[in-house]
Amino acid sequence: MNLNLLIFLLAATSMAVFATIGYIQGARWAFISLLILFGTLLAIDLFSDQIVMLLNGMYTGVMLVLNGGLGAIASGDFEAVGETISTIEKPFEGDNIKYAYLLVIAMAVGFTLILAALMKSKKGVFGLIWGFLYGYLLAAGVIPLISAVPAGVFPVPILYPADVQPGAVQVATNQFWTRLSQPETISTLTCLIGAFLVLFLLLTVRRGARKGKGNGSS
Amino acid sequence: MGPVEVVFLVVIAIFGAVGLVRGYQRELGVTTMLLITLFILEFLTDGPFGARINGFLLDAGMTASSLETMWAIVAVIMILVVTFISYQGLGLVYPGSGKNAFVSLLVGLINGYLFAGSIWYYLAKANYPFADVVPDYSSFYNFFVQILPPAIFGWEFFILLAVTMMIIRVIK
Repeated sequence: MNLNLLIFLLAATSMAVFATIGYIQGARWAFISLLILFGTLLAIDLFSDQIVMLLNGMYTGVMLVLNGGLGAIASGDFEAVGETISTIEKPFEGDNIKYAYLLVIAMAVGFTLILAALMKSKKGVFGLIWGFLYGYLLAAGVIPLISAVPAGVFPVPILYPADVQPGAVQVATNQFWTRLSQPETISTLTCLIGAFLVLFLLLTVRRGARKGKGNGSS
Repeated sequence: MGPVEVVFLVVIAIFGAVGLVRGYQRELGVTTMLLITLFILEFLTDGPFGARINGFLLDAGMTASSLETMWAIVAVIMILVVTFISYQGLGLVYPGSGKNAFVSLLVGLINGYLFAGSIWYYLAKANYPFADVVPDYSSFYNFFVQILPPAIFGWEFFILLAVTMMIIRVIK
């Protein structure tokens, strides 16, 4: 598939989904969520090193506790603590740094979705517009991190990916679809599509029939 | 000319937008009609009855490629006519109150998948008769063409789902 088309489809899907949610949830939620996401992306851009250091530090701290580091600290055996820390591999180093950014973005999106469950304002076209921008910003931030697509493809290149070799993008995209075309993957997808169609359609019909009965219509 | 898959993906997206506007109650009626149409087509082409028809036509001197072309034409005309009647004529409407934009969008996209995906499947099977579509296809095309509705489901799936939907609709 043409790479530009793939990027377009991913961005369009993200925009359509969040525009719909924004329209349903209302302008207040959509605007606050847009600010949160923008602030997150800006923070990643400005304090990328500090964020990676913080996440690595948190991981190291947790692993130190799990490996019995607290006992060593309590007994004053700092040499053992240092040894334990040196054996713990940092999760976000080299090529893995982008996963730290993704984690932070996912947390921001998760937070805004939790807000959606708590906040509700009047449906309106502004909710749709803010949601649309939210989807665009999310696509602009995430797509360069999860693929070999250069960030400059989007007019708001907030995050910068690793350098891409010429032609590597197309090869990576082709490999992705070729891998999905394997017979075993197709079998799994068939089961998933079938299960989704059956469950979604039957539950929607049943839900509608119950609502219709409640309102006295058939 | 652009890639052929773009045309079908755009059609699916348009069906999603139509579903959003019309509401899921009306869209489910179209889904049922499309499922029944696909059952008939699959039963005629791949079912035991279809094997007899194919055998008869091949014995009568028809070539395998012209047989595929004939089935593609029959399938496309049938899907187009049924879809047109479902949208324009008096259609089956499912009960349900209020509008749920998300559900309506999803049901619309499912209709688009059933409609465009089936036409795509039958045309691809017949090697795109009367159209200037030539290999080599993209890796996305080669993937998507394997997950089109008639490619992954048999006639039993379509009729069972359609009948179950109608039974659930009338159960009080």
